[in-house]
Amino acid sequence: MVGARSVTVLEGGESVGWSARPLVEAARRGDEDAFAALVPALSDRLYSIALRVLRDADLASDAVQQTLLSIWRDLPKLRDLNRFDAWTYRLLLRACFREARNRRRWIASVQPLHAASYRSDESDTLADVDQLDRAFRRISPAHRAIVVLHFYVGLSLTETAAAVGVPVGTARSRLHYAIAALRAAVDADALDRGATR
Amino acid sequence: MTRPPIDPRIRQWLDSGATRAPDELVEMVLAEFPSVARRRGWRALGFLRLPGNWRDAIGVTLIVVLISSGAAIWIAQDEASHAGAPVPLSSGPPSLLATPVPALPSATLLPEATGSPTAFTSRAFAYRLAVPSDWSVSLGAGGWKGGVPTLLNRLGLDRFSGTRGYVLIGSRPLAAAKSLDAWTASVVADSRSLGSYHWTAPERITLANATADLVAVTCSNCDEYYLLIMAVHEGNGWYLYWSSPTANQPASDRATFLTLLDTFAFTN
Repeated sequence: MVGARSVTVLEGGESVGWSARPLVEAARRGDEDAFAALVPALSDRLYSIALRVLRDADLASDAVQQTLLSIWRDLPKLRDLNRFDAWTYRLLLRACFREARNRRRWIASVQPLHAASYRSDESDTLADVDQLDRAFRRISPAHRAIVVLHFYVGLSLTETAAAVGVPVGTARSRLHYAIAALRAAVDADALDRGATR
Repeated sequence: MTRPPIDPRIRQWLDSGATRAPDELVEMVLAEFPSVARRRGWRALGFLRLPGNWRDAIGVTLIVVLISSGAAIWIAQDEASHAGAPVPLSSGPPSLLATPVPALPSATLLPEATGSPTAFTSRAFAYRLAVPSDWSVSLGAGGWKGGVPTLLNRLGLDRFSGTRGYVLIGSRPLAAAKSLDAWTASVVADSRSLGSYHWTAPERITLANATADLVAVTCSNCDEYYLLIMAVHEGNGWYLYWSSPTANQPASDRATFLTLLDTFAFTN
């Protein structure tokens, strides 16, 4: 019976892309199968962003869950489907900020990104990873969001500003501040290592 | 000393983390989203963003139209009662679904903007149904070969989702001369394999002038509640399924389901 809660996506199990417009259109009209087919790809995409902004797997999962349910609930109100990606980013970031604000776990409960999976085995690079991770935790969620959208998602500064919901000038200054903070952390670490050699 | 550029290092660092959402997260969302009530677009109120004088004019016009319509309806009803207009009475065999099916628009695949309720004609099955305009509707592709639908695998059936529950409807061809009793028994047998549910004895009702069986299903160790209606019409076995979220009351669920099916009509 329905209580079995089995998970099934569209017949044939075809994969979907990030902006699978026909599926998004169908989901907007209320097609649950279409939305169910979108969920896995959307989950991966949103989770990878949330994890980098929040630096916490549990918080990221909560934020993504809220975001996906918000997408389903509010999709009928999205008039321009060309804005679907930016709209989902904005919903995600709101959920991320809410999670961070509510739980106040920004600094205390941070899990480092997986250094073991880092592509380089140079000790200096691993030290960079650690420094970048610690520096990143010190900047605000709003600054982190700009960095992740710009450097990880690959959005332009204009697109990043639109996704976060701030003027381009604000996005630019936040990005500048965040980069400066990260650069300072790495430089300081390099100096320390130079002094100890 | 030349400082190495920081941007590539940030990119490389960000690229190194996990990129796949936990399976539990995906499963939780897939299980949860169908029960989330959707918000409708507010295109009809787009005028609220117009300049103030336009908005005022449209608002006044709407009020005048509403008052005029109300007055016209009241006058028409008053005249009809004075003229001794006949009041329709139910006739024929007693039926839980005796309310006449309202005139519905011709074949439609998508919701029509004709107000509430909204009429649908199935793509895959020979019936039509009207549901409240705030329900979400997903018309199935057909090809149902029996079996019990699950939360997301609705086996090609049509699905109508409201805030208090959802309805699945479909049919499949039956072997020649298969009786309603046999059809009901086969559906119940399929469903019984799922475990600890209690099934009421079939209750004979009428569905759009066809004889039908109503079976209520409760779960002994959970709060789930389902209603199944089986009917045989034109060589097809019909299956209509109601599922309500936890804590709904069986009595009100039954009333909701049967009231909804007042608008059900076979189209063959």
